Amino acid sequence: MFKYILKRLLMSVLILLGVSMIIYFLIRLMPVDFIQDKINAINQGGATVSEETVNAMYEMYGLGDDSFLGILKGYFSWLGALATFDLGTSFVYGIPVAQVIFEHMGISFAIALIATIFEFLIAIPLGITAATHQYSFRDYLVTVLVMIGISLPSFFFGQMLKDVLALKLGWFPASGLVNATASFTGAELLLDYVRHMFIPILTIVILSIGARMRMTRTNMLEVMNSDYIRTARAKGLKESVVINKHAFRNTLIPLVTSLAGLLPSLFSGAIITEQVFDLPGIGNIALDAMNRGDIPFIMGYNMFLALLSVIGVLLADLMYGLVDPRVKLG
Amino acid sequence: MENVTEKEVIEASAPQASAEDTEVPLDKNVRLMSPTRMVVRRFFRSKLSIVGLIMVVGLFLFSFAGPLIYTEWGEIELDESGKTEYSVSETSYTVDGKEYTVRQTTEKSLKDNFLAPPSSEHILGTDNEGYDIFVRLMYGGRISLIVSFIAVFLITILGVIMGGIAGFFGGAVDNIIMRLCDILICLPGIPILLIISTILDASEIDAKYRIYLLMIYLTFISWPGTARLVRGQILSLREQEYMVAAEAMGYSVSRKIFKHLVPNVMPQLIVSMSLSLGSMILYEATLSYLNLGVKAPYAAWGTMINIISTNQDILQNHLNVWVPAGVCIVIAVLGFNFIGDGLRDALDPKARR
Amino acid sequence: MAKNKNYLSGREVRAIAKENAKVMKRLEAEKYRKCEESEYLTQMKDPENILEIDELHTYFFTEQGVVKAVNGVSFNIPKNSTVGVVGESGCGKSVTSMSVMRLLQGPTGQIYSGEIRFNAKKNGEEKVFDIAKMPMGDIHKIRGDQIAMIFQEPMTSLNPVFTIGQQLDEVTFIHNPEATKEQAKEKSIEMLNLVGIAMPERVYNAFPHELSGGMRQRVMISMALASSPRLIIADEPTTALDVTIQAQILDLLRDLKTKIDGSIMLITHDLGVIAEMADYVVVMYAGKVIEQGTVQEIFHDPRHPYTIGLQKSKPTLNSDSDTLFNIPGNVPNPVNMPNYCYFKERCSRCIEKCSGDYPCMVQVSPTHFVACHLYGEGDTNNG
Repeated sequence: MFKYILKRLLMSVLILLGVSMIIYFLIRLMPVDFIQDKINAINQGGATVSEETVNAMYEMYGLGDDSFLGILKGYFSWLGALATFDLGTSFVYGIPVAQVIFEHMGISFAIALIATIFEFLIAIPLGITAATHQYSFRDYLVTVLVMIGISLPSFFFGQMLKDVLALKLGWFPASGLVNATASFTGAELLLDYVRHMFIPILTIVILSIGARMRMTRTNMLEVMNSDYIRTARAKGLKESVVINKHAFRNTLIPLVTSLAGLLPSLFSGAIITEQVFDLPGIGNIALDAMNRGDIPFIMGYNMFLALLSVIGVLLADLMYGLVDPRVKLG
Repeated sequence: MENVTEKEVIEASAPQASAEDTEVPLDKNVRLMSPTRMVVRRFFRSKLSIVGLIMVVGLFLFSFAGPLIYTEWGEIELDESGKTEYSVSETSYTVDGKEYTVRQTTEKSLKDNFLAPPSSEHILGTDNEGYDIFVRLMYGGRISLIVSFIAVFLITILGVIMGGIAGFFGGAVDNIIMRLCDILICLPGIPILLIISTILDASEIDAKYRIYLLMIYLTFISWPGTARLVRGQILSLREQEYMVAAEAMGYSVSRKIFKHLVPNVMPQLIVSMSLSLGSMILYEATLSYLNLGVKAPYAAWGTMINIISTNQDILQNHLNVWVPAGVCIVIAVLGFNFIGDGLRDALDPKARR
Repeated sequence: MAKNKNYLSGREVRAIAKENAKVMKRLEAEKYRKCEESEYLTQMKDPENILEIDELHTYFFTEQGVVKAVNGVSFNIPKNSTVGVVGESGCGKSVTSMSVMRLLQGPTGQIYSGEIRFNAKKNGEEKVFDIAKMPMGDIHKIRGDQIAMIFQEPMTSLNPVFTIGQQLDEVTFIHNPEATKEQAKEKSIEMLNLVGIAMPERVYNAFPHELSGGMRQRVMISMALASSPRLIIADEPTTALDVTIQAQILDLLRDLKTKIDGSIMLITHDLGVIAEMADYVVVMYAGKVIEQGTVQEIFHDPRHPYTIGLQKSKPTLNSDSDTLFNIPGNVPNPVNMPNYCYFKERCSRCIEKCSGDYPCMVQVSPTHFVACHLYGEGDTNNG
């Protein structure tokens, strides 16, 4: 077990190295005078990018030296900085990138976590009904609805919900996280948060339910055809017990595994949804940073995302061993 | 009594062996469905597949034949018929206890006929620049469909080659390719596209070709999925008896690959292709929406929706500007998903019904 | 596409699908109907029997046509006896047992007609149910409680995510919901002891994958016994096991029959197993019973050419021949069967009459029946 984890960890580090190489290669593709143009634009926009910050960035990425050795040296100096969680200083915010990410990560995580909980709560029962009533009207209805969900572009659906629920009906605020004109405290503040986050979360849930429901349905169908379900029926168990106990527990294995893999990605932010509803989450910040040419931030953000997905793969693998008694890691 | 009639019906439904067949041995006289018919039948049995097919064919006709038939407006042809806008402002003031209201009407003449409502001249009206929305939907469809087909084609070729090599040769080659896949799968999608878009901005590439370059990048990060699928199939097929037989008969490597492995991987590949067509259309639309892909004045469905992220008036009051584009995206993606789903059921040999 | 004469044409395929859908819908609705118990209460023809299968037709409604997997099967299982059902693969013996348990995979697999009369005894009160007419909502009165089943694949028949204990306790809880956890455990351990498992406490806490195939089959048997059923259906219980374990499991089954005072329906293609275990034998071929009788009658005086062929193809130690006898050909695919003897093409003793109608059951002795034109003129009884 220990050996297996060690091996997996080593593999993850290797993958991260590969990802970092690609990301570094991308920044080297940017012409230096273009970066300078961007900095000037930011300065004109009101913010001030100090000479120090720029120099520090040049030094960190080893820009300016285009020889092969120079690129190599630049990569390793950047890698060294990464190892100490130094992602450089953001041009726009003037504070370390890691700090910007850390500050905005929370709101993205909160939205994603709530959305994921609802997603699982709705998708799993739907998937199970669809599977146990395969080819029935119910199955078709659920399938069509979730397929429409999968096929909706987030920006279009988000804007639609915003238009109808917030602007036309006025039930919810259209954007932002808090009511800027009122100052709430305590329970009122919490209610205000809920009102603001309702439509974004609804958007994410409807869009993501489909994939999870399909997954549940496929697994459930496979399980329902297995010999041990026949045994459970032959024992004289009621069909509801067969489904909810014997079949469900087996269907849960891949679901829990996927949940573990999902966990890190909850921090990564939903770029489009956050942009549509103008939420100060990490995704929206990143989009904004990119539009304004905040290169250190976007590089740091990409490495952060890569790290999250590597951890996700690792967690999913380990989780699989924990949930399924048949799997012995090693 | 009722039972008896039912029984007769069943007997009649099973095609009876005709007179000359009676002397054929029993196990040979069973008539089966041909494999092709079975697949076609399973595909068309699902109403969803038919709906999907109609959606996709309809969009193809709309996008590619549409502009040839409906030639009133071009993709980047402004309606310069002009437009007069009236704005009314009221000011009230009180003099000596009496209330006066001054109503001032301003007439503004504009060069372009923008934000026109749907009419016989413009089926879906015009957008904020004065372009005909209906026509731009057609051109946007062209971009979406072409781009996604190219991307899926490239992904499949690259995936099959890499997965095939990995699965067939195994060992170190397999290891290297699979680790490469791991790396590419861990690369973030849209955030990296943001960087690449910036690089493209810096290199001043013609707006028309940006989207193709971005899709090439998408191909580059999307092939591992296909490669894993092909590799997995090959690994399991290699264990099959008939591959051992092929080995024993001394078939060449290329014969083994093209005559034995490819036909076995095909069903899954076709399904994954039709499903990724949908996701590529979504990707393209998202990129265009973020203003990274097709840029104005050229039309793309995503670009046509982009305007509402900054203009709340259009979001609320001019639904004809952005809703049709969104509906087109949904139809396209849904159509490909329905077809992919139908194909999956039709090609699955284990299907229960 | 339709050029090939062996393929169905598009029109035929559509006609089949239409008919299938109609019949399947009717049967499914019947299966899930709600009704009074009196609707499926019936009387046994012979009160000494525990199970009477009468003209059972079980069909599979496939795209290629109606597969008549069980096509008019009738036989009885007397109280306290073992009835062996033999036949080649695909002759419908497993489908018969699945029909009795009502475990057919819907909507394609359906009991089309016939009766399965079962003499149930609950709390000292005897009732006769027609299992074929029972709605699925009431099936728990029989399934698991009165009739238990042991399956062919011990390796996959236990739920991999629950311990043996959990799965055994469950049976106790179904039939005695008031039982406490301790009582259930006690009963489970007792059952594990009964089937000869050495360390019942340890097995009780083990997951199925930690046990060997033979152990798992023992667990399956103990699970079947836990509810003290009146009838155990063992569907090829030893096929997946190696020979020494097979012998142990068979010994176990034989011992248990005397202990639990019930009947066993043993399904197998192994004549040796039948000879050792059964009191009565039913030989099936292509969805029909072709011969039935006591074990002596079938083994010492087989009548049907197929049964004779089966006997001959059994390997024996004291035979001089180098090759084993085999019956030429295969079991026909039961999609659309003609109305003459199904065994005709493979039969070495065909007579003129064999091209005529399907032979009726002919009584050879009080307990021995055979369906073959070679014997008797008697259109006695189409049993």
